[in-house]
Amino acid sequence: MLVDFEVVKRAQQGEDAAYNQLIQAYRKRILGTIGRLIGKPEDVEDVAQEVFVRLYFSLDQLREPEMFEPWLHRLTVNSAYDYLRKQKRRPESRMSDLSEQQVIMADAVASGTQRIEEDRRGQVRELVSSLLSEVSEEDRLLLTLKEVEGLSLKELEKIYKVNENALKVRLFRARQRVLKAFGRLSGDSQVG
Amino acid sequence: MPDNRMMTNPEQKLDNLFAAYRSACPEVDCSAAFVPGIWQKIEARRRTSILQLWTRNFIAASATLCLLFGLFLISPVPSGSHFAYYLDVLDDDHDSEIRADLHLMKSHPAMDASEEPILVEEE
Repeated sequence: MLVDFEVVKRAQQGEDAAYNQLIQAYRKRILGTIGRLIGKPEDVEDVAQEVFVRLYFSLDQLREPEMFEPWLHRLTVNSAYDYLRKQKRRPESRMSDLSEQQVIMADAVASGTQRIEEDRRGQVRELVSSLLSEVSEEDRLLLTLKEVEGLSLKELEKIYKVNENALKVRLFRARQRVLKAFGRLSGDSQVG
Repeated sequence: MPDNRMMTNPEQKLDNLFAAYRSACPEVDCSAAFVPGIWQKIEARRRTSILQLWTRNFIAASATLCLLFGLFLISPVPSGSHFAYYLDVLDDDHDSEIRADLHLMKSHPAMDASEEPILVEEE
């Protein structure tokens, strides 16, 4: 928890100062998560604002302050998902669309020799986005939360309100699809 | 291809890639307008919800009124006896008004000739 439960309780009682404290404490985390979920830096701030607006109007429904973080994560995922739904379906990039440079980058990253230059970072981002576009929007969000955001299954269970086994199955399938695409990419690069 | 790459488990490679992605994503911070923007949106939504509440109440009240009015209109027509009774009352009332008018005319000072003039003494 980035804030005391007391702050959450005060915000629930309608104290604006406490609510501002929540925004200050969680804004970076929320912005980062949304950035990775929607992949459009120019819209990150708008979606993050939407998360905090939703939080403001739903905070009174939160019964246990201990559940605040999963609750906030849930709002974040829902807002990101709503945003993606509103957007026209993004043109899915296929493995064949990836440039040779990206293919080389995939190898470099996978073998742990990635460099830190910003252009390469950009390539990593693009590569992962391409791989994640192999799965559905829902699975992409789920996979991002698990693999990139590092949320545990328990946390995901609280966010999605489904049992752990169902989540495991879904994650496994999504991961297998991404892995298959990644393998295909690695295979192509080997041939090339 | 490097040899160690061949030895790496594909699962491990994917994990490495996700880890690289995590660190490749830039730290995002918000603009100065971020928090004021949140409060503006909250206020705007609050106003909208108040307006919606008023509209909903108005529609509910109008619907209730229409329903009551409709029930009143389709309720059975008053029976003949009641109608007649109502006319009788009106008729009686009319007679009593005429009688009252006549009585007023008789008792009015301007109509009474036997009345003595009022004398006003001058100094």
